[in-house]
Amino acid sequence: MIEAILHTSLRMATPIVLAALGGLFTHKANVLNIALEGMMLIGAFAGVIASFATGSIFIAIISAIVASMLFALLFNVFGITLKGNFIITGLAVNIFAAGLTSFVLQVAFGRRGVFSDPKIVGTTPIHIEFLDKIPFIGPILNNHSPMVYVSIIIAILVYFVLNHTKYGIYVRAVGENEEAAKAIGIKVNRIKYSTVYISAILCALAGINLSLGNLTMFVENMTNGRGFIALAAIFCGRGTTLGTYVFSFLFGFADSIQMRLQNLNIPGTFIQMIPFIFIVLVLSIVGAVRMIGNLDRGIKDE
Amino acid sequence: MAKIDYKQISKRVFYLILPVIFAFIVGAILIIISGHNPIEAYSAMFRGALVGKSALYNTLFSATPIIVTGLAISVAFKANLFNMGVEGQMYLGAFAAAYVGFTLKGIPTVIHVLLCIVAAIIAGGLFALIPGVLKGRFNVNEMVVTIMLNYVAILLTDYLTNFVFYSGEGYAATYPIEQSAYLPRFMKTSQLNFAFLIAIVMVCIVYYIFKYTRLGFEIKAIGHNVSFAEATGMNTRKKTIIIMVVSGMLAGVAGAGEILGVHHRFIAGFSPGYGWDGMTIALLGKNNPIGILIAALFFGILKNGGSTMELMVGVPRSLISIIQGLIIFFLAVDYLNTEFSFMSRLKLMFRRKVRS
Repeated sequence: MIEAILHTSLRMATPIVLAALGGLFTHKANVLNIALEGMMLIGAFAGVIASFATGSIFIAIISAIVASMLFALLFNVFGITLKGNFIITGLAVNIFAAGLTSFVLQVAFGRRGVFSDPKIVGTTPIHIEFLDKIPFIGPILNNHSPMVYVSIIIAILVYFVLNHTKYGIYVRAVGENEEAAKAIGIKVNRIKYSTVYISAILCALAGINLSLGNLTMFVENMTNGRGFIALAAIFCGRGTTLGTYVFSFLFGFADSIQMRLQNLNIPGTFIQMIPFIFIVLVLSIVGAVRMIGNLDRGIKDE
Repeated sequence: MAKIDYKQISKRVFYLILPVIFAFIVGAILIIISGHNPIEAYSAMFRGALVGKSALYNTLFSATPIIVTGLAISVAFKANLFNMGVEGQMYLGAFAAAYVGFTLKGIPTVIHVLLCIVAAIIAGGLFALIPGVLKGRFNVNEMVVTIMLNYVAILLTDYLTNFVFYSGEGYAATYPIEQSAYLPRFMKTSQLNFAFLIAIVMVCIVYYIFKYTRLGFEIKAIGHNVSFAEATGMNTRKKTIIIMVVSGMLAGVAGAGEILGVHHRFIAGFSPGYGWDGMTIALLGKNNPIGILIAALFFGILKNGGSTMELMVGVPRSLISIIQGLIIFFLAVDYLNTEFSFMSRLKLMFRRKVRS
């Protein structure tokens, strides 16, 4: 029972984890990336279309990354080069992605809302032999779609890159004090650009996990706020890799509890509120804890 | 009174229209790719929205809810608060209006309508109090909170309509409201109703608040520089909460207008994203109530004409949201207030490229 819930939690958390780890880079570089949602959606869409057209999961992943990167480029040009407001630019990416996916779906495939076809190839769950021997942890970790394992590896990589490489130091320097970073010769805009591209790649993987991991279909708006949940995970985790991972997993956990409760005789819509209320509660608690001992009485700029 | 600088104004208007033109051009390219004629599509759109009395009325009708949500967002935007929860606040406002509409019976029309609207204002305001307090007290990012609360509001009203107040008519809707709570229509062939007048009244109220009240001044001050506003002795925490609540109240009005004027009952998921449209409109109108009114009317044309375009030419309506997204892109860049103008910045970019 508990094993099954945790197994589902890990599955539900994976797209959030991936998007949040991507967002973490931009967060560290002091770029508020609202566009996670849109980049995920376009990744999911491009993945499904490529998988439908070619039948190759590899090409699907590449196309998802390319599509997501193109949207990151838009974000970069308008947000960083032209110095637009990040929040507004990010929301534009989201609206544009939502509009474009449904437009293309209707024009090119004559579908509305949902795109599913037996020709679409999804990722197959991986069964790892030696995990069978480990009690409790084995059943939780085993039989997932590959992105789940990829997300765990990426989490470790992100921790390493952010804390133990020159690039990571540059990113943090840009985020903490842009002027100082500029003064010592760091190309600030280039660093910012690169963080957005990294988040785009990870969002594309998150999108692939959504559309080709558990299901093999694209549904309009299938990200359903996961990009924002990922942002919440970053805020709650105070911008640390481990914190971000833990909170992403917690949100996945809330999701899996919600799914389990739906099997009982409780109205679905009521239960579906659980993850969202949970996030608001966690955000408030984290905010309140942060306020304690903080003498700054004003509202500081983000 | 300061002299009106026509050159400055025309420059400003030009930079506001520019994004729209850019967006339409990109839209035209998409139409060509999809195998249609952009001129045909756009002209069908504008004809469908503007030619004939009922078309015109329907355009005003489409603009009604987004005028108010645009105002709601602008109040927060102007103070640099990102209230993305207008959608959810509107849902709760709409539900409160419907609830008062079908529970109270035998009251004179004007009073019943007013009571419904007041209920919507209270519901929207209270719901906005949550992110307001969280931002004001604990400095929690209001954007993430309001977006999460949107889902809560939509799911909650969904639950209430499906289980508690279900009318049993096959689709998720509450009991119909009493006739005394209806907002009358202007003509039979169009759904345009008195909600439009309410929207205009709201434009005037927000204009008054921004221009002549202390709150309006404080909103502007907080928007310009929070630290400075704080330093001059303003209680920015309290003000943040108040601004959020005012924004939520306006969102509630938008919801009430839809229920009392159009649906006459609460329908689960009734909004196709009026809260999000409001954001584009607030941006396009530069948070100016008059600008918002104009922007909303423009969007009314797009929305109303979009369906004609789909019917006549076969270009999907989702093109409208693509255009909307593009407009926001180009609007995000403040062409006037950046140190260089947009054009010289572009030139600079190209020069750099050439050199390297």
